[in-house]
Amino acid sequence: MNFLSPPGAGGSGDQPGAMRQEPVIRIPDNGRLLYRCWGDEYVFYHPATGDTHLFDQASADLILAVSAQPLSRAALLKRLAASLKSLTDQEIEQFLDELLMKCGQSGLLEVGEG
Amino acid sequence: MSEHLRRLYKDFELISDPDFCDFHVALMPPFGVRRYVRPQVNFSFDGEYPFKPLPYGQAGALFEWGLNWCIARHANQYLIIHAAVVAKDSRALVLAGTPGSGKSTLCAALVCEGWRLLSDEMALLSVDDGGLYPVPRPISLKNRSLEVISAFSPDSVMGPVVRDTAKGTVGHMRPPLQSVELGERPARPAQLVFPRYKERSGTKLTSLSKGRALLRAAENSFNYSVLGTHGFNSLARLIDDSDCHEFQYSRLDEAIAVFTELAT
Repeated sequence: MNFLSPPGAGGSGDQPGAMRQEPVIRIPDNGRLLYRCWGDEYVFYHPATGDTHLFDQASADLILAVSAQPLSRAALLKRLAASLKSLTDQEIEQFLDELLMKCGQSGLLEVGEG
Repeated sequence: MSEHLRRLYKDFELISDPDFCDFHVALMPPFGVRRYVRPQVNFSFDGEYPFKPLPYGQAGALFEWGLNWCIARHANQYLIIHAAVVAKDSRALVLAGTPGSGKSTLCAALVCEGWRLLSDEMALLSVDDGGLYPVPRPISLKNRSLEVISAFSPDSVMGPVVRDTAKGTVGHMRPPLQSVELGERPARPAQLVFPRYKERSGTKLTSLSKGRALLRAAENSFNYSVLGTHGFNSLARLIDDSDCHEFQYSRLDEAIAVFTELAT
């Protein structure tokens, strides 16, 4: 799954004037996550894959938000901007893209229709 | 084989008519010519033969490896971590790590210094209550560790030494009587340590973050993936209950001083 170019994002096959919902980031199969935190370390257990993941506070905040409710990339950027105030917009986008890439490859998150 | 049992299991109770046994195992010669020519030995578990036969001289080692296999494969009421476990005053020190990390040598030295042995090979962490349950069987020592422990504690009782096994030269140290007598009493986790023996290195104890400790303990578990969410919750409880460290050493006397200090 490619998080950087979500499905339906401006492809030539789009019908002119058709209603398009913004893709959302979500936990696959509406799955739940278990997690524990110690200080600014968060460890997530993903029962669907059996994998265990370690994240920092900012990444964990986004994953927890997505596990509560699927969110668009724009919504995630907005959340990140609020928590990572010392970073530029470009750095925040890069942070999010790297996180989504990592989570996409491990099956922790996926892109779906909104 | 009888010498192995006589020396190493001297303090264990023999049950003449068991109502229930977890595993039924046996050591026996294979069928055919290998009973007589370069004789071999087979390990059977509930009538099955999970391993290839080994030379007869390795029967004692095969017995210990087979028992480890039985527990690691079937005792899923525990999260099982590849670790030695010793205790002082019911507070357990878990020495986790892969073969060659020096955990059995450390474990043997600590036991020789009066620590209680819970296990040399596997930490059995109860999924129900988070306690560490004992399996105080003989401590497996390999290669140079045999000489190191014999020199460190000349009074320790060693079983027969077997050479040229898949793991090199292998021998076992008898568990102390007191550890055997406390064989059904669990201990609470207090310290989780990932040791690493490095020749001629200094002794260094370094704090390890709890998140990283959980990932490393999961990597060293036999059945973490089998237990699913129970495995994660059990491991998280172990991490909650424990101070977590990495430990590098080459000198046993210095290592023991560090763990004695940690236990106080």
